Amino acid sequence: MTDAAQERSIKLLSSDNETFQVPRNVIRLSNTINTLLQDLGLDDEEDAGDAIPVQNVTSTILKKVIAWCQHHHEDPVAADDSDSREKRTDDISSWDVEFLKVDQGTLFELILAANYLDIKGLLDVSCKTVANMIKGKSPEEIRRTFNIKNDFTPEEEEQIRKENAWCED
Amino acid sequence: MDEYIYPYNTSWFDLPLEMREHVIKQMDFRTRCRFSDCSTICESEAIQERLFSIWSIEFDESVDGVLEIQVAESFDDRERFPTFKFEKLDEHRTIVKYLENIWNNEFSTTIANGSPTQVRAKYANYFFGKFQDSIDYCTVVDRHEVTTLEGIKFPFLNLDQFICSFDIKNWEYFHQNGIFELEEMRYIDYLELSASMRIAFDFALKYKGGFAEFHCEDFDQQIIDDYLSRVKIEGMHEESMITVSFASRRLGFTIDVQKLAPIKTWQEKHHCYSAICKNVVIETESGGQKIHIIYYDTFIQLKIKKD
Repeated sequence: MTDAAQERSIKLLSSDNETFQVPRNVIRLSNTINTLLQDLGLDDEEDAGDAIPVQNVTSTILKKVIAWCQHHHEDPVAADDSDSREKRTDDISSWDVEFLKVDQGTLFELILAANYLDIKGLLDVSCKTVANMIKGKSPEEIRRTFNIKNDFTPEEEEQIRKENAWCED
Repeated sequence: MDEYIYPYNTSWFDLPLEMREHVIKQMDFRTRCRFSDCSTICESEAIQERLFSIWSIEFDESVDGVLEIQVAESFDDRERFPTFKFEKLDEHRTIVKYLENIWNNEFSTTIANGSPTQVRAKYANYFFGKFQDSIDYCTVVDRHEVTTLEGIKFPFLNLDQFICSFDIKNWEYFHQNGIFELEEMRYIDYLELSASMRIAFDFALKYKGGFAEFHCEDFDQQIIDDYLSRVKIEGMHEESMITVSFASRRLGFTIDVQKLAPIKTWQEKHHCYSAICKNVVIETESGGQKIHIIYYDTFIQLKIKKD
């Protein structure tokens, strides 16, 4: 991507038809948009033309996604953690913690948007936030939080309780 | 079953499976276990990320060091699966307790009270013993110290499923602690031992039961050639040895040394050899042409002597 391309803006169109003007160097965090621009040969165009439809993302969520990208677009490229070690969930920056203090529905929509737009950093941090919501909760509390129906039979539940008594140490 | 009144209008299942798995991957082990207790679906989703089989176990240098257990469905799949990393003894105990509860293992006392070496030896025993039927490929890596090896008796019963290699750097420890008599091992470096271990476990893998003889053709000649090319035979001091390790407790098999081309080469050069082992009973035929290994549960060394 050339310097000129970095400086220009891209228009994104949310699923509810709201248009957002986003600096190219901010939206670069989205691999989906990057690929799209490259595949269409628009990356070095002065005017990328029509807004790019982001069909699966509402304006409310897209606004938040852009805000996240705005804050993080100068972050150094994260090291590839494809060694797939167990991830830490206590390394979320205070800005992200505040940013993700949203209702559960919004958090889930952010995850979906991050996945759709392929923004790895946002996807990771939002999934970590969900994982943190589960951490420290009993199964019963987890069920309540995430609307999960307990479909174990009483016998199975008793067995599970015995097997996993260690969890409560 | 009672329906709950949920405080949120979103459900775990509003997330697509791929995203749910991504969240599960972010959970620590205990959280993951608790999550799996929520429902049968949660259980099946969590267990996808839990314990298919153990790909590798790595021990770091102290009991407070790192125990990594990587799970995978198979050798080819190992990159896709997470490594559970336990950095504190409490976490080590956590996973062992978890496993105990599943498989009713008996090691809790030892884990709680044992020395670092015992603890780790028990880990190794535990995992190999309990998971051997589901392990496709297992590597034990001991990168930083060798104390782990001292207490481990490898209960490999189904050798087809195991290939093990040890990357061992601390030769002094072996020597000082009498695990090996390695006075002359200085010219065999880490890579060479590693190669010998591979040969050893190739032996083991090819050994299928009862009473077996190992012949030259049983070996991967390429591996042996590679191994021997690293060993500076001409530079040997008074004694040298090939370290051959069999990980099993099987009774009675024979290594026909005559038929092992590389060893025969050595024998011709040095005329005689002896076999020494730790915790191994060996009978050597007159003339020393065959070594009958009657019982073994640890490393076996073939010691090649010069005249």
